[in-house]
Amino acid sequence: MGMPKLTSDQAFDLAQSFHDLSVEIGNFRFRVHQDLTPAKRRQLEDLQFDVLNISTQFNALSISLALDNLQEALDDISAATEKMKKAIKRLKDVQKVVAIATAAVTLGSAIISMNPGAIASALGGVVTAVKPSN
Amino acid sequence: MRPALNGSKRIHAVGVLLVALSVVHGGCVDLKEVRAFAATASAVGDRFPGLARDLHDSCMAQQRYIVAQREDFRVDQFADLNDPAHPLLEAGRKTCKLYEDEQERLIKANATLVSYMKSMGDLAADDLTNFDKGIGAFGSALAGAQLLSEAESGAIAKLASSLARMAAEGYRRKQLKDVIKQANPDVAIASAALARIVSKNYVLQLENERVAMREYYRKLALESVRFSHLAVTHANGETDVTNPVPLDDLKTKFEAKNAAINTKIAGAQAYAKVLAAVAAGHQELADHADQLTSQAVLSAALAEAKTIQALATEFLKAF
Repeated sequence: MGMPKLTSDQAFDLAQSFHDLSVEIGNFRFRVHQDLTPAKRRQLEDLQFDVLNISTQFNALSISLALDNLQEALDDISAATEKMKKAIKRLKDVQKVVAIATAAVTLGSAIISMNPGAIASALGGVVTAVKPSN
Repeated sequence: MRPALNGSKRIHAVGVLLVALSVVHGGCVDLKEVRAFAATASAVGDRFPGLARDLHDSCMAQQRYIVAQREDFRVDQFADLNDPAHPLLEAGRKTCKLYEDEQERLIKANATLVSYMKSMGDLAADDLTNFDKGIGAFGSALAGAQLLSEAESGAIAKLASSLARMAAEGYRRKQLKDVIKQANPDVAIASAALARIVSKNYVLQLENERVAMREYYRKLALESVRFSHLAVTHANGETDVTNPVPLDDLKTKFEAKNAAINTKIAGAQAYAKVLAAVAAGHQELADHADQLTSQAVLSAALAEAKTIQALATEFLKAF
Protein backbone atom coordinates (compact mmCIF):
# COMPACT_ATOMS: atom_id res chain seq x y z
CA MET A 1 0.00 0.00 0.00
CA GLY A 2 1.39 3.41 -0.98
CA MET A 3 1.79 6.31 1.38
CA PRO A 4 -1.40 8.41 1.61
CA LYS A 5 -1.16 11.62 -0.37
CA LEU A 6 -0.98 14.97 1.34
CA THR A 7 -3.82 17.42 0.94
CA SER A 8 -3.15 21.01 -0.03
CA ASP A 9 -4.05 22.16 3.50
CA GLN A 10 -1.72 19.61 5.08
CA ALA A 11 1.13 20.66 2.79
CA PHE A 12 0.51 24.29 3.75
CA ASP A 13 0.47 23.44 7.49
CA LEU A 14 3.82 21.68 7.06
CA ALA A 15 5.18 24.67 5.12
CA GLN A 16 4.11 26.98 7.95
CA SER A 17 5.65 24.71 10.61
CA PHE A 18 8.99 24.51 8.78
CA HIS A 19 8.92 28.29 8.32
CA ASP A 20 8.39 28.78 12.06
CA LEU A 21 11.16 26.31 12.86
CA SER A 22 13.53 28.14 10.51
CA VAL A 23 12.78 31.45 12.25
CA GLU A 24 13.51 29.86 15.65
CA ILE A 25 16.80 28.38 14.44
CA GLY A 26 17.79 31.80 13.08
CA ASN A 27 16.95 33.58 16.31
CA PHE A 28 18.90 30.99 18.27
CA ARG A 29 22.01 31.12 16.08
CA PHE A 30 22.23 34.90 16.26
CA ARG A 31 21.53 34.89 20.01
CA VAL A 32 24.46 32.56 20.72
CA HIS A 33 26.59 33.74 17.81
CA GLN A 34 29.52 34.80 20.01
CA ASP A 35 29.63 31.43 21.74
CA LEU A 36 29.74 29.33 18.59
CA THR A 37 32.73 28.10 16.70
CA PRO A 38 32.82 29.06 13.01
CA ALA A 39 32.04 25.43 12.13
CA LYS A 40 28.99 25.38 14.40
CA ARG A 41 27.81 28.71 13.01
CA ARG A 42 28.08 27.32 9.52
CA GLN A 43 26.25 24.15 10.51
CA LEU A 44 23.36 26.07 12.06
CA GLU A 45 23.18 28.45 9.12
CA ASP A 46 23.00 25.56 6.65
CA LEU A 47 20.39 23.87 8.80
CA GLN A 48 18.25 26.99 9.00
CA PHE A 49 18.27 27.50 5.23
CA ASP A 50 17.63 23.82 4.52
CA VAL A 51 14.59 23.99 6.79
CA LEU A 52 13.48 27.25 5.14
CA ASN A 53 13.73 25.68 1.68
CA ILE A 54 11.73 22.67 2.84
CA SER A 55 9.02 25.15 3.87
CA THR A 56 9.19 26.70 0.39
CA GLN A 57 8.88 23.32 -1.30
CA PHE A 58 5.87 22.29 0.81
CA ASN A 59 4.28 25.65 0.04
CA ALA A 60 4.74 25.13 -3.71
CA LEU A 61 3.34 21.60 -3.37
CA SER A 62 0.32 23.03 -1.52
CA ILE A 63 -0.39 25.33 -4.49
CA SER A 64 0.05 22.47 -6.96
CA LEU A 65 -2.41 20.28 -5.04
CA ALA A 66 -4.90 23.16 -4.73
CA LEU A 67 -4.78 23.70 -8.50
CA ASP A 68 -5.31 19.96 -9.10
CA ASN A 69 -8.44 20.09 -6.95
CA LEU A 70 -9.66 23.20 -8.73
CA GLN A 71 -9.55 21.83 -12.25
CA GLU A 72 -13.11 20.50 -12.33
CA ALA A 73 -14.58 23.81 -11.13
CA LEU A 74 -12.47 25.71 -13.66
CA ASP A 75 -13.68 23.47 -16.48
CA ASP A 76 -17.28 24.15 -15.46
CA ILE A 77 -16.63 27.91 -15.34
CA SER A 78 -15.08 27.77 -18.81
CA ALA A 79 -18.17 25.95 -20.07
CA ALA A 80 -20.39 28.65 -18.52
CA THR A 81 -18.24 31.34 -20.16
CA GLU A 82 -18.62 29.66 -23.54
CA LYS A 83 -22.37 29.53 -23.04
CA MET A 84 -22.44 33.28 -22.41
CA LYS A 85 -20.21 33.98 -25.40
CA LYS A 86 -22.64 32.05 -27.60
CA ALA A 87 -25.52 34.06 -26.16
CA ILE A 88 -23.62 37.30 -26.87
CA LYS A 89 -22.90 36.18 -30.43
CA ARG A 90 -26.57 35.39 -30.95
CA LEU A 91 -27.56 38.84 -29.69
CA LYS A 92 -24.99 40.42 -31.96
CA ASP A 93 -26.33 38.34 -34.86
CA VAL A 94 -29.82 39.63 -34.16
CA GLN A 95 -28.47 43.19 -34.20
CA LYS A 96 -26.68 42.44 -37.43
CA VAL A 97 -29.90 41.18 -39.02
CA VAL A 98 -31.69 44.35 -37.90
CA ALA A 99 -28.89 46.47 -39.40
CA ILE A 100 -28.99 44.61 -42.74
CA ALA A 101 -32.79 44.79 -42.93
CA THR A 102 -32.65 48.50 -42.13
CA ALA A 103 -30.07 49.09 -44.85
CA ALA A 104 -32.23 47.16 -47.33
CA VAL A 105 -35.28 49.25 -46.49
CA THR A 106 -33.22 52.42 -46.88
CA LEU A 107 -31.99 51.26 -50.28
CA GLY A 108 -35.50 50.32 -51.40
CA SER A 109 -36.81 53.69 -50.28
CA ALA A 110 -34.01 55.48 -52.12
CA ILE A 111 -34.77 53.57 -55.33
CA ILE A 112 -38.48 54.43 -55.03
CA SER A 113 -37.60 58.09 -54.54
CA MET A 114 -35.39 57.94 -57.71
CA ASN A 115 -32.79 60.05 -55.97
CA PRO A 116 -29.30 59.09 -57.30
CA GLY A 117 -27.49 60.62 -54.29
CA ALA A 118 -29.69 58.75 -51.82
CA ILE A 119 -29.28 55.50 -53.80
CA ALA A 120 -25.48 55.81 -53.70
CA SER A 121 -25.56 56.56 -49.99
CA ALA A 122 -27.95 53.68 -49.30
CA LEU A 123 -25.74 51.29 -51.25
CA GLY A 124 -22.88 52.32 -49.02
CA GLY A 125 -25.09 51.57 -46.03
CA VAL A 126 -25.81 48.06 -47.33
CA VAL A 127 -22.12 47.39 -47.87
CA THR A 128 -21.36 48.50 -44.30
CA ALA A 129 -24.19 46.44 -42.85
CA VAL A 130 -23.22 43.19 -44.55
CA LYS A 131 -19.51 43.61 -43.81
CA PRO A 132 -18.43 40.92 -41.30
CA SER A 133 -17.81 42.39 -37.84
CA ASN A 134 -14.59 41.63 -35.95
CA MET B 1 -11.42 51.85 -33.20
CA ARG B 2 -10.75 53.07 -29.67
CA PRO B 3 -7.37 52.08 -28.24
CA ALA B 4 -7.53 49.48 -25.45
CA LEU B 5 -7.05 50.88 -21.97
CA ASN B 6 -4.28 49.48 -19.83
CA GLY B 7 -5.00 47.92 -16.40
CA SER B 8 -4.89 50.97 -14.14
CA LYS B 9 -6.65 53.24 -16.68
CA ARG B 10 -9.36 50.61 -17.09
CA ILE B 11 -9.81 50.38 -13.33
CA HIS B 12 -10.03 54.18 -13.20
CA ALA B 13 -12.60 54.17 -16.02
CA VAL B 14 -14.63 51.57 -14.16
CA GLY B 15 -14.43 53.80 -11.08
CA VAL B 16 -15.95 56.67 -13.06
CA LEU B 17 -18.71 54.33 -14.22
CA LEU B 18 -19.40 53.36 -10.59
CA VAL B 19 -19.73 57.00 -9.53
CA ALA B 20 -22.07 57.65 -12.45
CA LEU B 21 -24.15 54.62 -11.55
CA SER B 22 -24.40 55.73 -7.94
CA VAL B 23 -25.83 59.04 -9.13
CA VAL B 24 -28.38 57.62 -11.57
CA HIS B 25 -29.19 54.50 -9.59
CA GLY B 26 -32.68 55.62 -8.55
CA GLY B 27 -34.82 54.80 -11.56
CA CYS B 28 -32.58 52.28 -13.26
CA VAL B 29 -33.97 48.84 -14.06
CA ASP B 30 -31.40 47.46 -16.52
CA LEU B 31 -28.27 45.42 -15.80
CA LYS B 32 -25.66 48.19 -15.66
CA GLU B 33 -24.86 47.31 -12.04
CA VAL B 34 -24.17 43.70 -12.96
CA ARG B 35 -21.95 44.99 -15.73
CA ALA B 36 -20.12 47.31 -13.31
CA PHE B 37 -19.63 44.48 -10.82
CA ALA B 38 -18.21 42.21 -13.54
CA ALA B 39 -16.08 44.97 -15.09
CA THR B 40 -14.50 46.00 -11.78
CA ALA B 41 -13.70 42.42 -10.81
CA SER B 42 -12.20 41.56 -14.18
CA ALA B 43 -10.18 44.80 -14.41
CA VAL B 44 -8.51 44.03 -11.07
CA GLY B 45 -8.12 40.36 -11.98
CA ASP B 46 -6.23 41.24 -15.14
CA ARG B 47 -3.30 42.36 -12.97
CA PHE B 48 -3.07 38.98 -11.22
CA PRO B 49 -0.23 37.57 -13.41
CA GLY B 50 2.17 40.00 -11.70
CA LEU B 51 1.38 38.40 -8.36
CA ALA B 52 1.53 34.86 -9.75
CA ARG B 53 4.96 35.46 -11.29
CA ASP B 54 6.23 36.89 -8.02
CA LEU B 55 5.86 33.50 -6.31
CA HIS B 56 8.82 32.25 -8.33
CA ASP B 57 10.64 35.60 -8.27
CA SER B 58 10.35 35.79 -4.49
CA CYS B 59 11.64 32.24 -4.18
CA MET B 60 14.65 33.09 -6.35
CA ALA B 61 15.30 36.23 -4.30
CA GLN B 62 15.29 33.98 -1.22
CA GLN B 63 17.85 31.71 -2.91
CA ARG B 64 20.12 34.66 -3.76
CA TYR B 65 20.16 35.77 -0.11
CA ILE B 66 20.96 32.23 0.98
CA VAL B 67 23.79 31.80 -1.55
CA ALA B 68 25.31 35.16 -0.59
CA GLN B 69 25.42 34.07 3.06
CA ARG B 70 26.69 30.58 2.36
CA GLU B 71 29.43 32.09 0.22
CA ASP B 72 30.33 34.55 3.00
CA PHE B 73 29.51 37.54 0.81
CA ARG B 74 32.45 36.77 -1.45
CA VAL B 75 31.20 38.87 -4.33
CA ASP B 76 34.32 37.93 -6.24
CA GLN B 77 33.18 34.30 -6.11
CA PHE B 78 29.49 34.54 -6.81
CA ALA B 79 29.71 37.48 -9.25
CA ASP B 80 26.23 38.34 -10.48
CA LEU B 81 23.56 36.35 -8.69
CA ASN B 82 20.92 38.23 -10.65
CA ASP B 83 21.74 35.87 -13.47
CA PRO B 84 19.25 33.07 -12.81
CA ALA B 85 21.49 30.60 -14.67
CA HIS B 86 24.38 31.15 -12.23
CA PRO B 87 25.87 27.78 -11.16
CA LEU B 88 25.66 28.69 -7.46
CA LEU B 89 21.89 28.97 -7.85
CA GLU B 90 21.53 25.41 -9.12
CA ALA B 91 20.08 24.07 -5.83
CA GLY B 92 17.90 27.16 -5.46
CA ARG B 93 16.48 26.72 -8.94
CA LYS B 94 15.44 23.17 -7.99
CA THR B 95 13.80 24.45 -4.80
CA CYS B 96 11.81 27.03 -6.78
CA LYS B 97 11.04 24.83 -9.80
CA LEU B 98 7.56 23.81 -8.71
CA TYR B 99 6.54 27.48 -8.44
CA GLU B 100 7.80 28.00 -11.97
CA ASP B 101 6.03 24.86 -13.20
CA GLU B 102 2.72 25.92 -11.65
CA GLN B 103 2.91 29.58 -12.68
CA GLU B 104 1.01 29.27 -15.93
CA ARG B 105 -1.62 27.01 -14.41
CA LEU B 106 -2.20 29.53 -11.62
CA ILE B 107 -2.44 32.41 -14.09
CA LYS B 108 -4.88 30.38 -16.20
CA ALA B 109 -7.00 29.50 -13.16
CA ASN B 110 -7.41 33.19 -12.36
CA ALA B 111 -7.91 34.03 -16.05
CA THR B 112 -10.78 31.53 -16.19
CA LEU B 113 -12.56 33.44 -13.45
CA VAL B 114 -11.73 36.79 -15.06
CA SER B 115 -12.95 35.59 -18.45
CA TYR B 116 -16.20 34.42 -16.88
CA MET B 117 -16.70 37.83 -15.21
CA LYS B 118 -15.96 39.63 -18.48
CA SER B 119 -18.49 37.51 -20.37
CA MET B 120 -21.05 38.09 -17.63
CA GLY B 121 -20.46 41.83 -17.97
CA ASP B 122 -20.65 41.66 -21.76
CA LEU B 123 -23.90 39.76 -21.63
CA ALA B 124 -25.29 42.29 -19.15
CA ALA B 125 -24.11 45.24 -21.27
CA ASP B 126 -26.93 47.37 -22.58
CA ASP B 127 -25.09 48.12 -25.82
CA LEU B 128 -25.80 44.54 -26.81
CA THR B 129 -29.50 45.30 -27.02
CA ASN B 130 -29.25 48.82 -28.32
CA PHE B 131 -31.34 48.57 -31.48
CA ASP B 132 -32.49 52.18 -31.39
CA LYS B 133 -29.98 53.53 -33.89
CA GLY B 134 -30.69 50.95 -36.57
CA ILE B 135 -34.42 51.01 -36.10
CA GLY B 136 -34.42 54.81 -36.07
CA ALA B 137 -32.85 54.63 -39.54
CA PHE B 138 -35.56 52.16 -40.47
CA GLY B 139 -38.18 54.79 -39.59
CA SER B 140 -36.32 57.46 -41.59
CA ALA B 141 -36.16 55.13 -44.59
CA LEU B 142 -39.89 54.53 -44.44
CA ALA B 143 -40.52 58.26 -44.23
CA GLY B 144 -38.06 58.87 -47.09
CA ALA B 145 -40.05 56.54 -49.33
CA GLN B 146 -43.11 58.66 -48.63
CA LEU B 147 -45.10 55.50 -47.90
CA LEU B 148 -46.06 56.75 -44.49
CA SER B 149 -46.27 60.07 -42.77
CA GLU B 150 -43.35 61.09 -40.58
CA ALA B 151 -45.42 60.46 -37.48
CA GLU B 152 -46.50 57.03 -38.69
CA SER B 153 -43.01 55.91 -39.66
CA GLY B 154 -41.72 57.22 -36.32
CA ALA B 155 -44.37 55.26 -34.45
CA ILE B 156 -43.56 52.07 -36.38
CA ALA B 157 -39.85 52.50 -35.75
CA LYS B 158 -40.52 53.01 -32.05
CA LEU B 159 -42.70 49.90 -31.88
CA ALA B 160 -40.12 47.83 -33.77
CA SER B 161 -37.42 49.09 -31.42
CA SER B 162 -39.47 48.15 -28.36
CA LEU B 163 -40.20 44.67 -29.69
CA ALA B 164 -36.58 44.02 -30.62
CA ARG B 165 -35.41 45.32 -27.26
CA MET B 166 -37.93 43.23 -25.33
CA ALA B 167 -36.97 40.08 -27.22
CA ALA B 168 -33.26 40.69 -26.73
CA GLU B 169 -33.63 41.71 -23.07
CA GLY B 170 -35.70 38.63 -22.34
CA TYR B 171 -33.15 36.45 -24.06
CA ARG B 172 -30.09 37.87 -22.34
CA ARG B 173 -31.71 37.89 -18.92
CA LYS B 174 -32.71 34.26 -19.32
CA GLN B 175 -29.19 33.35 -20.38
CA LEU B 176 -27.67 35.33 -17.51
CA LYS B 177 -30.04 33.80 -14.99
CA ASP B 178 -29.31 30.24 -16.13
CA VAL B 179 -25.54 30.69 -16.26
CA ILE B 180 -25.28 32.53 -12.94
CA LYS B 181 -27.30 29.88 -11.14
CA GLN B 182 -25.38 27.02 -12.70
CA ALA B 183 -21.89 28.49 -12.32
CA ASN B 184 -22.34 29.82 -8.79
CA PRO B 185 -20.94 26.80 -6.87
CA ASP B 186 -17.89 26.73 -9.16
CA VAL B 187 -17.33 30.47 -8.87
CA ALA B 188 -17.45 30.07 -5.08
CA ILE B 189 -14.94 27.19 -5.15
CA ALA B 190 -12.56 28.93 -7.56
CA SER B 191 -12.69 32.27 -5.71
CA ALA B 192 -12.05 30.61 -2.35
CA ALA B 193 -9.17 28.49 -3.68
CA LEU B 194 -7.48 31.44 -5.38
CA ALA B 195 -8.02 33.60 -2.29
CA ARG B 196 -6.37 30.93 -0.18
CA ILE B 197 -3.39 30.62 -2.53
CA VAL B 198 -2.96 34.40 -2.52
CA SER B 199 -3.52 35.11 1.17
CA LYS B 200 -1.75 32.02 2.57
CA ASN B 201 0.66 30.42 0.10
CA TYR B 202 1.90 33.60 -1.53
CA VAL B 203 2.18 35.41 1.79
CA LEU B 204 4.12 32.49 3.30
CA GLN B 205 6.52 32.58 0.36
CA LEU B 206 7.08 36.28 0.99
CA GLU B 207 7.67 35.51 4.67
CA ASN B 208 10.25 32.88 3.67
CA GLU B 209 11.97 35.47 1.48
CA ARG B 210 11.87 37.84 4.45
CA VAL B 211 13.59 35.30 6.72
CA ALA B 212 16.43 34.83 4.20
CA MET B 213 16.67 38.60 3.69
CA ARG B 214 16.64 39.40 7.41
CA GLU B 215 19.34 36.83 8.16
CA TYR B 216 21.37 38.30 5.28
CA TYR B 217 21.35 41.74 6.87
CA ARG B 218 21.83 40.36 10.37
CA LYS B 219 24.92 38.46 9.29
CA LEU B 220 26.13 41.40 7.21
CA ALA B 221 25.81 43.66 10.28
CA LEU B 222 27.81 41.23 12.44
CA GLU B 223 30.50 40.96 9.78
CA SER B 224 30.57 44.74 9.48
CA VAL B 225 31.11 45.14 13.24
CA ARG B 226 33.85 42.47 13.18
CA PHE B 227 35.57 44.18 10.25
CA SER B 228 35.31 47.55 11.98
CA HIS B 229 36.88 46.17 15.15
CA LEU B 230 39.72 44.61 13.20
CA ALA B 231 40.37 47.86 11.34
CA VAL B 232 40.44 49.87 14.56
CA THR B 233 42.65 47.29 16.26
CA HIS B 234 45.18 47.57 13.49
CA ALA B 235 45.01 51.35 13.51
CA ASN B 236 45.02 52.17 17.23
CA GLY B 237 45.29 48.95 19.14
CA GLU B 238 41.74 49.30 20.41
CA THR B 239 38.95 46.75 20.02
CA ASP B 240 35.74 48.31 21.32
CA VAL B 241 35.14 50.92 18.61
CA THR B 242 32.65 50.43 15.79
CA ASN B 243 32.04 52.58 12.73
CA PRO B 244 28.24 53.07 12.75
CA VAL B 245 27.95 54.44 9.19
CA PRO B 246 27.88 51.10 7.33
CA LEU B 247 25.37 49.77 9.89
CA ASP B 248 23.10 52.74 9.32
CA ASP B 249 23.28 52.12 5.58
CA LEU B 250 22.45 48.45 6.10
CA LYS B 251 19.49 49.38 8.27
CA THR B 252 18.14 51.69 5.55
CA LYS B 253 18.46 48.99 2.91
CA PHE B 254 16.85 46.39 5.13
CA GLU B 255 13.94 48.68 5.94
CA ALA B 256 13.33 49.47 2.26
CA LYS B 257 13.28 45.78 1.31
CA ASN B 258 11.15 44.90 4.32
CA ALA B 259 8.66 47.63 3.37
CA ALA B 260 8.52 46.29 -0.20
CA ILE B 261 7.57 42.87 1.14
CA ASN B 262 4.92 44.45 3.37
CA THR B 263 3.45 46.27 0.35
CA LYS B 264 3.20 42.99 -1.54
CA ILE B 265 1.54 41.29 1.43
CA ALA B 266 -0.99 44.12 1.71
CA GLY B 267 -1.65 43.85 -2.04
CA ALA B 268 -2.13 40.10 -1.80
CA GLN B 269 -4.53 40.46 1.10
CA ALA B 270 -6.48 43.07 -0.85
CA TYR B 271 -6.72 40.70 -3.80
CA ALA B 272 -7.99 37.92 -1.54
CA LYS B 273 -10.72 40.34 -0.39
CA VAL B 274 -11.50 41.17 -4.03
CA LEU B 275 -12.05 37.46 -4.63
CA ALA B 276 -14.28 37.29 -1.56
CA ALA B 277 -16.30 40.23 -2.90
CA VAL B 278 -16.57 38.49 -6.29
CA ALA B 279 -17.92 35.37 -4.60
CA ALA B 280 -20.32 37.40 -2.41
CA GLY B 281 -21.61 39.47 -5.33
CA HIS B 282 -22.08 36.39 -7.49
CA GLN B 283 -23.84 34.59 -4.66
CA GLU B 284 -26.23 37.54 -4.33
CA LEU B 285 -26.97 37.41 -8.07
CA ALA B 286 -27.46 33.62 -7.96
CA ASP B 287 -29.76 33.82 -4.93
CA HIS B 288 -31.95 36.32 -6.77
CA ALA B 289 -31.37 35.21 -10.36
CA ASP B 290 -35.11 35.31 -11.04
CA GLN B 291 -35.23 39.00 -10.08
CA LEU B 292 -32.00 40.19 -11.66
CA THR B 293 -33.39 43.66 -12.29
CA SER B 294 -34.79 44.19 -8.80
CA GLN B 295 -33.46 47.25 -7.02
CA ALA B 296 -32.16 45.23 -4.05
CA VAL B 297 -30.13 42.85 -6.22
CA LEU B 298 -28.69 45.63 -8.35
CA SER B 299 -27.78 47.60 -5.23
CA ALA B 300 -25.98 44.56 -3.84
CA ALA B 301 -24.04 44.10 -7.09
CA LEU B 302 -23.11 47.77 -7.07
CA ALA B 303 -22.02 47.58 -3.43
CA GLU B 304 -19.67 44.67 -4.20
CA ALA B 305 -18.32 46.57 -7.22
CA LYS B 306 -17.54 49.52 -4.93
CA THR B 307 -15.84 47.23 -2.43
CA ILE B 308 -13.66 45.81 -5.21
CA GLN B 309 -12.88 49.31 -6.47
CA ALA B 310 -11.78 50.38 -2.99
CA LEU B 311 -9.51 47.33 -2.65
CA ALA B 312 -8.01 47.81 -6.09
CA THR B 313 -5.84 50.73 -4.94
CA GLU B 314 -4.04 48.60 -2.35
CA PHE B 315 -3.56 45.78 -4.84
CA LEU B 316 -2.27 48.10 -7.59
CA LYS B 317 0.35 49.58 -5.29
CA ALA B 318 2.11 46.22 -5.33
CA PHE B 319 1.28 44.76 -8.75
